[in-house]
Amino acid sequence: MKGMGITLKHLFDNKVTRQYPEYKKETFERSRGMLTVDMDRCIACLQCMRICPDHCISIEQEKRDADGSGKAKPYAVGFVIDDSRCMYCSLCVEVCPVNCIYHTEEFEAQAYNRLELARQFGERPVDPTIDPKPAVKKKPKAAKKAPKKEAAA
Amino acid sequence: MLGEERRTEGTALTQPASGRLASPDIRDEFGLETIDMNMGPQHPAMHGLLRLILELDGETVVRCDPVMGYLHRSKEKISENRMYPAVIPITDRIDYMNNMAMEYGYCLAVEKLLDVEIPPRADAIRALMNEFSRIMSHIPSLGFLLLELGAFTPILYAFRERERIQSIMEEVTGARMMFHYIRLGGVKADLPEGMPEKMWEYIEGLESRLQPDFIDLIEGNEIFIARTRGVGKITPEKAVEMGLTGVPLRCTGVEFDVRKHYPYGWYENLDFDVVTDQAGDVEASYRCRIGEVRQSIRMIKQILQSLPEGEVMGDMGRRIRPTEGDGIGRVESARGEYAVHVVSDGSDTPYRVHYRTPCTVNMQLLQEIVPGHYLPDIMPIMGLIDPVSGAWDK
Repeated sequence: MKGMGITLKHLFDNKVTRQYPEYKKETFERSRGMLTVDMDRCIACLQCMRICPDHCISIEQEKRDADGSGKAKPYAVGFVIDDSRCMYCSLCVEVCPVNCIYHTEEFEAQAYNRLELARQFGERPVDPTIDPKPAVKKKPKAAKKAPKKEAAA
Repeated sequence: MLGEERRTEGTALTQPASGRLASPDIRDEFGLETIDMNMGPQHPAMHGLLRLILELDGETVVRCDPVMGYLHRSKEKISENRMYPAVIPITDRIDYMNNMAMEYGYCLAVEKLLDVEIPPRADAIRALMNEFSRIMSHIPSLGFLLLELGAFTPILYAFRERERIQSIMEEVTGARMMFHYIRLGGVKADLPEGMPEKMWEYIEGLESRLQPDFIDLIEGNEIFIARTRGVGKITPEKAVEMGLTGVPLRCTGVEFDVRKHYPYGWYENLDFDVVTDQAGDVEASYRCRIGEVRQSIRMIKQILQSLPEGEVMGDMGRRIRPTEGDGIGRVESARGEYAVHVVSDGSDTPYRVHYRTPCTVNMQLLQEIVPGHYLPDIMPIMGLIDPVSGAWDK
């Protein structure tokens, strides 16, 4: 009987649910949505590629005199973000020295093919299936080296 | 009334398995046999996977063997191949109901190696978010317990509260579940403007909703009492012997809480009680969880009243390379004591990371206490342990 009273009370309360595709939840300033890159600002420092825990960013760089200063600097000709791997941890956003990679408000990604989720930026497409940093440092070697150095010193 | 009957008869449920089984003579005479049955590994009410091998005598369980490992994602090995800051989002996925404590434990362990000073404001915000995370985990776990007993309403109220806290968390951290908010040396960002007031308003509201929406609905309900009182009885000696932590330990009357007895971060400055109960059954665990939610509310209020000013991030430098050695971080997660052991060889990546999750230990309880219970009593006992399969398989 007491339970019925609670039910009745909630019957006349405000609704807490909403019809999703028509009415979307408001997103906040800090909400981490899908990543995007401003290629004009990118300096191809590859820091985002190195920090990414899921290896979802691949960058193809070459030396090019893009700003007409006479010096050839690293330039990102290809930039791919594989959304099928990304876990939205925002480490790449924090590490970027020129703030060219950032989160958008978009959070709905769907495709029939996994490769369609890899979004290409830049002038040349990059193959997202190739692991950008396959070589992982072998742990035992590093551990063995350290004592030797100490012994030599 | 059903509840009365079972309570006065009562002991039938807590008797050792042999007491309620057919005697060997009768078994031979009628050719009775026990049945082996698989429960799981998939259950629609669970995110993860758990398989129980049951030996049944009629409806009574004779033997119960939990089989773990269906959700093994090799978190420890992955952690060895990643740079120190990049391990934090991995720890988020261990216990996906109470992520903040998982991050906190790892950060505490690495900070011991780094020997950095955490700004007081960052410490306070860590504790604040940790307590919100605890409420976020405890309230749905009550809902799940009742859902398994056949009551559908409480889970809706529980998830309404969880969604509201998630919105607060999203505004502060940027994500609704996988926060990645606590960083080595502090927290990611300060609270947004107007957030403390918003949190205060929500916490006051939750306190007023807790009584009518949860306690009035659940406590004193005959079916709830009949299904939970005396079910899954644990003695304090057994609990200590098995190394249980968290609510399964505290509901037997043993007072142990890492926040109280080995305080870390801002918890030294907070005034709170360790909630214990004497009964050691499923009903006691429910009372403990409600009590802990109340304590969390009390702690959040204290933190919000005396939130220190200042920076939220210590001076860490660009590359994080701890000195050689090892560090251990212990925290009280919503399920019990969670500890992380990090061994460093002086390089960019950890040499070894070990996660001690409370669920792995608490799940061993099933072997001990399920035999002698009826088959439908398994689900309330799972509610007592409140397992998350991500946490026991890692």
